[in-house]
Amino acid sequence: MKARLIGFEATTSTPLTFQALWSHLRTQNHEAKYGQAKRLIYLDEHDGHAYGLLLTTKSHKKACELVNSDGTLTISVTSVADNSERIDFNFIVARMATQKGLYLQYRGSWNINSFGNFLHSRYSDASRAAREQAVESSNAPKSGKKAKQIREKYKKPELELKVIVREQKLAELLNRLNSIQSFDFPLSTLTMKSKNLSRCATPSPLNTIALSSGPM
Amino acid sequence: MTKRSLIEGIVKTIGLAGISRGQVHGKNAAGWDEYVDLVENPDVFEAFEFDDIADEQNLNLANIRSSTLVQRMRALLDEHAHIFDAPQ
Repeated sequence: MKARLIGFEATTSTPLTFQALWSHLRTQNHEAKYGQAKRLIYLDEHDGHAYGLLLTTKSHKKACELVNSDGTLTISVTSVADNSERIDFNFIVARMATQKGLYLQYRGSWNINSFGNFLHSRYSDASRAAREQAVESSNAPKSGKKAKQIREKYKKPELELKVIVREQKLAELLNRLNSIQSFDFPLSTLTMKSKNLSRCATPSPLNTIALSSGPM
Repeated sequence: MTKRSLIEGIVKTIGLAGISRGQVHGKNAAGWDEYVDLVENPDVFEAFEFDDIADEQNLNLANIRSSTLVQRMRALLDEHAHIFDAPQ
């Protein structure tokens, strides 16, 4: 089984940075609730980089193994001790300054999209706390105009882990196709600035751009 | 419109618009429908055999940074600094 390193970029929508979130998460308990599985998160920060080891425990204790004894196949069932749990693991290393990094994943482990959703949920919580802290440290009246302006900056907190797709690699992948019919993408993921809009293919009101090409 | 110009347009749009999810639908050489999913086809910077990296040295809870795998990941960020140091 292959374990792969994929690149990502974390985008954040409020003054709370990825680094601030990481520092906040480091103060939390290792055990984190997310989805059905129990997660254990070990985080570190050093020299401008975020480091993380993410563990996902399995609910089952037994595993089946196919054993070949001189050509005779049998199935052996192994079990972990009562005080042990089977785990899958992921690693993450990221530059704090650019919020870009690498994520190690393999089949069965915590995939990057799900981990991104986890970070987003924690980012929302941390943003709310940071918002009130910012209002507090401004010494402005809590219901005044200045406090409102501060709160506005923390409105709709969103953190997204976007997978990096290098243009050359994607082009190679698409080039294997004989012809191209359409390109679908969620409009909600668009982050382009309006000045770039006219330089791209114009998005349709729907989320599909119908294309047409013949074989080369 | 040629396939090449379409590919260039898609790749350029993805880069400019920051699209990280989506799929391209096309026909393969056999004439069958094929879908290239951006999420399922992330750019792989390096791949390892699971059995080679699943060892106690790499999974040291007391010191994550001591892992040779983590050190390799850190080095890869430097090797691809044009990607990982580029501002958003």
